[in-house]
Amino acid sequence: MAGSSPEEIAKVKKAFLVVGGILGICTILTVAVAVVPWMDIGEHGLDKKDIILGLCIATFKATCVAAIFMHLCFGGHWEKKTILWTFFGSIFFAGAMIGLIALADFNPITFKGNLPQGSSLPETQRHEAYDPVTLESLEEEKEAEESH
Amino acid sequence: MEIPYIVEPRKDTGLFNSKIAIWLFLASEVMLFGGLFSAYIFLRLGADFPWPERALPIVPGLINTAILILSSVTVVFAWAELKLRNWRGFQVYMSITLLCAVIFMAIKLPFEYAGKFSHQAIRAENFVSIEGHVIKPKEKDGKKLHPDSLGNYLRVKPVSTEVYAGEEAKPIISLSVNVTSFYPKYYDHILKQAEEGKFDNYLYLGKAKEIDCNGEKKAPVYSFSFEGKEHTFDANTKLSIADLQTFKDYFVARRTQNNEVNAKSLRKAWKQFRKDRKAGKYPDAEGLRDDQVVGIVTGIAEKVRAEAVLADKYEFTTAADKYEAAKIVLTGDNQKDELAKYELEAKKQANVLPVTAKLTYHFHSAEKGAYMKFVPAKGTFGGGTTAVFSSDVENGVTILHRDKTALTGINYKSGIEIAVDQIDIRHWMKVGWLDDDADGKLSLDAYIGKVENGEYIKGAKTDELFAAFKNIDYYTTQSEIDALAAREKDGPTIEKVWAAHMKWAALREAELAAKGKKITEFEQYVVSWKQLVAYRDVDYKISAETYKTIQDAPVMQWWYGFKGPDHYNDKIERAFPHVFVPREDIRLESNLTPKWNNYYAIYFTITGLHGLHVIGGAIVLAYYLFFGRKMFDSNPEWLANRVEVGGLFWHFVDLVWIFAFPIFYLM
Repeated sequence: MAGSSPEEIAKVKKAFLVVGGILGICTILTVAVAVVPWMDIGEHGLDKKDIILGLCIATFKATCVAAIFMHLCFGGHWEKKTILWTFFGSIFFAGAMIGLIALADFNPITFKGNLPQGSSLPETQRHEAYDPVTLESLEEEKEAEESH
Repeated sequence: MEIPYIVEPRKDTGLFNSKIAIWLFLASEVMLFGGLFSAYIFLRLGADFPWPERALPIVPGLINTAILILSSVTVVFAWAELKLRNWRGFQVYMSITLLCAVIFMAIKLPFEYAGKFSHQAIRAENFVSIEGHVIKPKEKDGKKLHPDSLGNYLRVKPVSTEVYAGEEAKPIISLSVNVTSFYPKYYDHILKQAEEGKFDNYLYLGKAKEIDCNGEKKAPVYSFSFEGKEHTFDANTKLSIADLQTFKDYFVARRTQNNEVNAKSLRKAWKQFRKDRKAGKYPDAEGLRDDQVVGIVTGIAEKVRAEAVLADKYEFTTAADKYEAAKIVLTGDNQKDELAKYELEAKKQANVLPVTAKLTYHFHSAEKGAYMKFVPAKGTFGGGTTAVFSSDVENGVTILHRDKTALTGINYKSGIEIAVDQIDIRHWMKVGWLDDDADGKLSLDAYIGKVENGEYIKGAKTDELFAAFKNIDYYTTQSEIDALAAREKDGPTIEKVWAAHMKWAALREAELAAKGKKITEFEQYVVSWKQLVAYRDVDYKISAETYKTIQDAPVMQWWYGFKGPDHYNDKIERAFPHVFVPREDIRLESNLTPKWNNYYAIYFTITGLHGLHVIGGAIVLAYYLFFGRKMFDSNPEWLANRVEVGGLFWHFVDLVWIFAFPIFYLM
């Protein structure tokens, strides 16, 4: 860390105390958002907005810890650069890993008329030769057989 | 030699060496926990069962969060004190940090984790789930007040079956052993059970009482020579672990020999086939298909094998083996006499059964009502059971164990007695309802009932919904036993609490609708332990008047219940219905561990790994506290750097918990 005179250390200690207090308040806020009825944003119960808000508070807390407790804000220019590249690089790779796993959900197999909602695949990629087997088509077949 | 850059920062990075190292390590930790949290996301999004909501009491998690934040502050203060060369200050702050670590683990392990391990969950065959505590048996005046089921035992009674042709059917418990995989310690348990239940046993050798051995009647036996001794297993053989071991050793030796013989024969056969093909024995060899080639080679191998058997080249060969071999080799007209000799020998030993991996013993008892008890899911006993229950109770059920031991008898009064503290029908709604009502003709109300004008009206199928949970007599403390009559009248039953809950849900729905909001599935279809207590406190009289009392009750608040439902507190325990769930109605039973569902799997993985990080970090920080004085005296800046690096790891541990707490405890 750049500089370690008693005055600088005292200043930093004050910053630590303030951040500790902020973390405590944010923790109480997180719980309050979850349990206090009038602080429940969005639909009643757990929904996307609650999750986003909760994670935003958690991210803010994490940023405070990283910036102040882990000295990211106090270091010299080169120190910051090294740490930021290392740390945020890992976050990038973690995100890429999550993205790759998410791609596993992507199913490119499509049938005529049965493209998933919002699919970006163009019409020409549908397999025209296939007739999808559905419950309705099976019932139609059965009825046709019976009528014969 | 002085190691460079342990105190002074490097010119290129601006960091001293250990700081670069710790940041690289933290980068790898980000990947680790990032992977685990992403696993949580995908497990939750892809769950085919209702994901648990607020399954964990919030207060311990909140306290742990505060503890870790405090420890983060104190560890960085400890570093600051070292920078100021204040050893005493460093000791104070570091001690507080370590104390926080101890408190964190003390809350996590004996309260949170232990609470989960002792909490049982049962999913019935129709997917309705309950949670609670297994009722421990109590005694009064030497009399057991509960059957000793403890949720663990399977009681198996004999089932009538024909033993030998022509004999009267005898009730037996059949035990089938797979000698290659049986777990010997479990058989100690079986023999003990047989003794306690006054069961005798014998080896079952098939329905034929006697076999014609060339005009002489003999009883069937297993008979073989092995390791210089003759071994005979007849119908009087009792179950013994030593015998099973001998049988296994012989079977494995014979099987190994057969495999070697087969392999050698095939090799020779291939060689022979290639030789013959080269010699032109197969004119259209090029045109032969693969399956034809295999057929030819197999035929040659059979003959090679048979010749080797007849030449007595192998140790574990029976008269029956030789006769089969002779039929292949001795095909000439002038070899009929020799073949007849092998046939005669085989006929003389026709009562000797071929050794297979399976042995069956029959247990029978003259005592009326005799049964044997088995622990189905204990690691000590062969790694547990996969119970296969047949619906044909008359003919018995077969209970399969992981070591392939199979018990057939009547599954008798086996089940789990549980004090229920949560009822959840959401999984039934997702899956079980479709099974019950494939035609889609019955409405939800037919199953769960409905509330009209404040009154609960049972549906046509409500009894079926909770059929697996049979209400039982209710004993807890001495005062409760004495007040049994009143208790049975006022005590909770599954039906009573469900009716109360439906009324509560209707009022809740109306309350939320007035505010333009909808009731959640969780509120509608899950009865939590807090609600059970609150309903009991108003004597199950749920109405608009008592609704506010329920909602304002301390038990219903988020901060109530440090470690969840306290089954040792009579006031709370009295609100929990006691039910008996027969084994055959149980789809899955588990304590609240990864076995139960993916939520607990990922919860224990992430928090467990986090806990290990806390312990590891605390050990390192403790080292600095207790053994750092010497370094402080010689090179205080170096110690300060080490503590800073240890502190960075500690902050990362806090960072992980900052995300874990809201995800697991609040969402």
